[in-house]
Amino acid sequence: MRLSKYFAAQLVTSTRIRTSAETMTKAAVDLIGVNEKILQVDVDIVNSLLRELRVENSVILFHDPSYSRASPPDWVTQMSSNMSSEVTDPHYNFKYMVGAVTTNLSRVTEVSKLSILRKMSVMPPTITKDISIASSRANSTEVSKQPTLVLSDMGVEIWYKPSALAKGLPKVWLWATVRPASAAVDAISPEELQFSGEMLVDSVTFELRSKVAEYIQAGYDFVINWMTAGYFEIKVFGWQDRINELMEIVVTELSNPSLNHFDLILGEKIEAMTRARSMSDIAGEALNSLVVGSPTREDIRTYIDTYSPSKGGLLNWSKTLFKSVFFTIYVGGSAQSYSQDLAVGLGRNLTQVFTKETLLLNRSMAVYFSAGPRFGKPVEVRMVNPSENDPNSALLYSLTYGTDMSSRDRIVAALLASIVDPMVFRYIRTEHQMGYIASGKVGVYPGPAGAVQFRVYIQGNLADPDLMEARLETLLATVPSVIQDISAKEIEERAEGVAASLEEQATSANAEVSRFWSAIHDESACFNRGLNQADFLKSTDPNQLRASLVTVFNEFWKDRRSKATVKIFKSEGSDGDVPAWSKQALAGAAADSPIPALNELESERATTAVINSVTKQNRETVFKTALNQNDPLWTPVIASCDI
Amino acid sequence: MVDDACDEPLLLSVNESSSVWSLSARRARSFWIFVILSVGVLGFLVYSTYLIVYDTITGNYGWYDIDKPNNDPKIYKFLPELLPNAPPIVVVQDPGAQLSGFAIGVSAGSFNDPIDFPGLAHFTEHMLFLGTSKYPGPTSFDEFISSHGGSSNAFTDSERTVYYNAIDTDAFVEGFSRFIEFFTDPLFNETYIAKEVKAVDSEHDMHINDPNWRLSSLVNSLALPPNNHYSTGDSTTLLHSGVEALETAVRKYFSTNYCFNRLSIAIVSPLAVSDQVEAVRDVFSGISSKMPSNCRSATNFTRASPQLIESNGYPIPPSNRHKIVYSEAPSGSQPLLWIAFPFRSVSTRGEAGKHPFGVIETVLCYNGPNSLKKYLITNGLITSMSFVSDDTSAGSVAYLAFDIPVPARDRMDELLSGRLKNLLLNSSRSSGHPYSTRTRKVTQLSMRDL
Repeated sequence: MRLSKYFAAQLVTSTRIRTSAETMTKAAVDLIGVNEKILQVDVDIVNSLLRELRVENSVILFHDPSYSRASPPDWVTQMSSNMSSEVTDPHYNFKYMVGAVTTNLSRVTEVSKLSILRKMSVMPPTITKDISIASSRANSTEVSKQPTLVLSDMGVEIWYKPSALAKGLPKVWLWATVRPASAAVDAISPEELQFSGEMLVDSVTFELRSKVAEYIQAGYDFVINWMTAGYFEIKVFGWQDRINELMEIVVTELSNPSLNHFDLILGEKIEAMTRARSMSDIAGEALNSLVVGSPTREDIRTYIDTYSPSKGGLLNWSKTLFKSVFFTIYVGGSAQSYSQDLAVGLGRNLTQVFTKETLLLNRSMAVYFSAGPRFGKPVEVRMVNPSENDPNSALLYSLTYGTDMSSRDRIVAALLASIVDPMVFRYIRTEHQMGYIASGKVGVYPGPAGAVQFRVYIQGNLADPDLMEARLETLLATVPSVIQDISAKEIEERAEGVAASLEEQATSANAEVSRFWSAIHDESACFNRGLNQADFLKSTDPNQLRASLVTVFNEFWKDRRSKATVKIFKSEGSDGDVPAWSKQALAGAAADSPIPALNELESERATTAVINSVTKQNRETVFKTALNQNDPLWTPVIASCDI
Repeated sequence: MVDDACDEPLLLSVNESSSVWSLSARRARSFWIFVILSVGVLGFLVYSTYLIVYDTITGNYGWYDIDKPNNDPKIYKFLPELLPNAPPIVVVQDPGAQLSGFAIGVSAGSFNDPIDFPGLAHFTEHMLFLGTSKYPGPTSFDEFISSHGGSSNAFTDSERTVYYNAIDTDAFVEGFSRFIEFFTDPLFNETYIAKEVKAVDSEHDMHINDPNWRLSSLVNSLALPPNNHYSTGDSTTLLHSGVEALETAVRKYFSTNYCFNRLSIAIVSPLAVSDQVEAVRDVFSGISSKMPSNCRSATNFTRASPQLIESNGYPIPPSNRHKIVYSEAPSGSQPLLWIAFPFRSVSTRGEAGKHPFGVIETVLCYNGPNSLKKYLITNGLITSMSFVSDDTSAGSVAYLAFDIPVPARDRMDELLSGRLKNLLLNSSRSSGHPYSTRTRKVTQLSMRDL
């Protein structure tokens, strides 16, 4: 027997252990679990299914946040008959009505042929034997840097690396940042910067999605991101024969935006700001606004209401920003010489795109890594779950170290997370059932030179966030003794486990590009940081690691270093006290839990600066009261390559 | 006259010659036939011996190759029968990996829930993590995995439940051995049954405000069993008869559905294929399993359901089609318009691998000039459009899904009666077009060379 199966994509392993379990095994599980044979597209089958896409076969569902039994939208009433009486879904507790579709849809007069019935101008290439030539050139693992090109009046810095994974394929990944001058960024408020950057990205992406639709169907694609720190990131990938065309189209649109649908996109943006989001997103934004200082949706909404941005205003902003730019281009492709030629050629062409007033800029790291405030005492955000009838509460708990943590301590902190995370899961979730979600992580937010934070997120429908926090802190207080009790062998195994995840090779070209790109992007050019950290973990005596773990934990824990929490209370009973339903549900503690029962808890919290919502004004109040006046900001530091 | 004598036979008549030649030739032919047969037999014996020795040395366990993309350096092997008590296995040798991944898929899911315990398959999935006879601690497996740089999780689908893990390769064998205990000696500790219901309850509450979850629930409510089944479970569906009854139900569900013939294993590791297979063989050789080796094979739910047979395999019966459902979305969410189309099961007809829904998505959601999507967006009727499908043995449902901006809430007749209707009535015109050629080519490149 031979299983005739093809993969839609290579079996992917991940550099991040959080997701690797699923990604590593998914394709293999699918192979035998579903017995799915991935075969050639069969147009006859497609057409047989298409013929069944008829209104009379369908069920039309309209899910309406303004639902009203008494007054549904007119079109619902006109289109249906025999509407049932209102019923409630027994499990999800929402209401609905069902009726027969009666409309004859007779207003249809236009019978236009869709554009899918047109001649195609962009086709994928035919792969030929030159793949093997390309493949033979793709063995270098070094990332090389072309000397910075000062072309005309702009800077283009080019890095290239033949992809180890794309070898044999005429595919190229082009990633670029467009960095405006610090002066251009500093001249406007964070809210304007963020809003205008997002609007430009949304507008450009909207126009381009249509303009390059044929490229996309032929296997090319692009992404433009506006980063909080004030720069664009452009990612383009596709077949190498026309990839430069696509990049130039993207950059041209970005630098000379047509903004044909400005009002439409602005309307959508404003509407999106009022939409419900996940609790973790809400909590994360609130925390980031405190620690990183990035504007919230509310800040941006206030900006929009105050200044009524216009198409002309955005165009002027765009021109101001692009007066001074510095490009960094990374080319990962199948052939080294091709990569070089492409990068240099592209760099030359880009000079034609930008204004001649462009200046080679004086970059400042401060642009890319916003310095966060250093709190002298804990800060707490308390808010009510904005989703009505949502019984969930959430706690996002953070202890922030700052930006000045050494490379060595950063990796010890990652090892610490591998110890604390299962503790949180075991006691907070499994033993005490305080939340369906309970995880503890140590991370760097945002970027490699950003502040190092220890974060725990808990979300569930039983406990309120005050109780979650009290129990969590009781648990965290035991961490040093837990570390002391871990055997040297177990520490060694844990270190090897973290090291293995750091050494994991990228197994998709996208992941490969992403890994190298981060080292270019943070200007450290440290392409081996992960491997250096893995070597450190594997070569350090476990007892020494144990001492470092305690030291690093205490650095976080000491005086609840720059503690900031976001507490989202369920819609009812959110007065800040532990509600009765929570006490009743959680009064008992498991016999083997280090967390005492509720009546043993004593909440001796430091004076906390509390705000009830995150607005610009509130945040400033907090900063005034909670900021360490002697040392208000962390100085951004690029983590050393050496460890 | 030696020469003459030598030449003499040449002078013989044809008949004479034939008679003499035939005598010696027969002997020679017999000889050569004997030699050839002997060599053949000997060769066969040598070759067979070689194969046996080679297989022993190289560890060829009756595996089969799996076609893969040309550019994929991994080695894939499929072993349908490693041991009598072992499930079929896909083994992947990934030279670039540091961690090892292993997973087990069970051919049972929420469609297999007993009628009186909706959500039981999902709950059983939770319970398997909470201790085995050898490792009774409720988080001992998670702790072991995380202490070796790994992670684990699982999900319950309509017809399958999948458990997956990754771990430092040095701890792979130990981790895999502990993992197999899930399926051979789970504890189903009563204390944790009571606690874990809260986790499932919490998970249900997390879904309540998910608009997509709600709409799926609505479509399912119009479909025939088992499609209309409630799958997450909560305290009301699981604890209605008490903890003890739930424990009994979990044990019964487990023994009915978690058999070796319903399991499949996937392993991905930098270890050589033969080393991985040996590890699996060692683990399974040492198992004294509580798990039945054989139970009823996975159900084809269309064949098992009289109602589905009556509806010709369509999950939504004609009486529930051509309907409009008006429903309450969570406050603050975006209005959604879905158009659901029922189909007979695509996978059980062997057509899923031909990607029909993927191609339809590309056709319908094209965003170029003059396209439907572009038209609807630029006219403020939608903010996005997608085509998704859900395929099981109990039928398929595909959805055209539109996100609607609030100001367009009252304008959906424009959407439903305009170009969309035109599209739905004329969509089959795409056949034979160059589009098909391009789609074929891109798909082929993606499958073969990515």
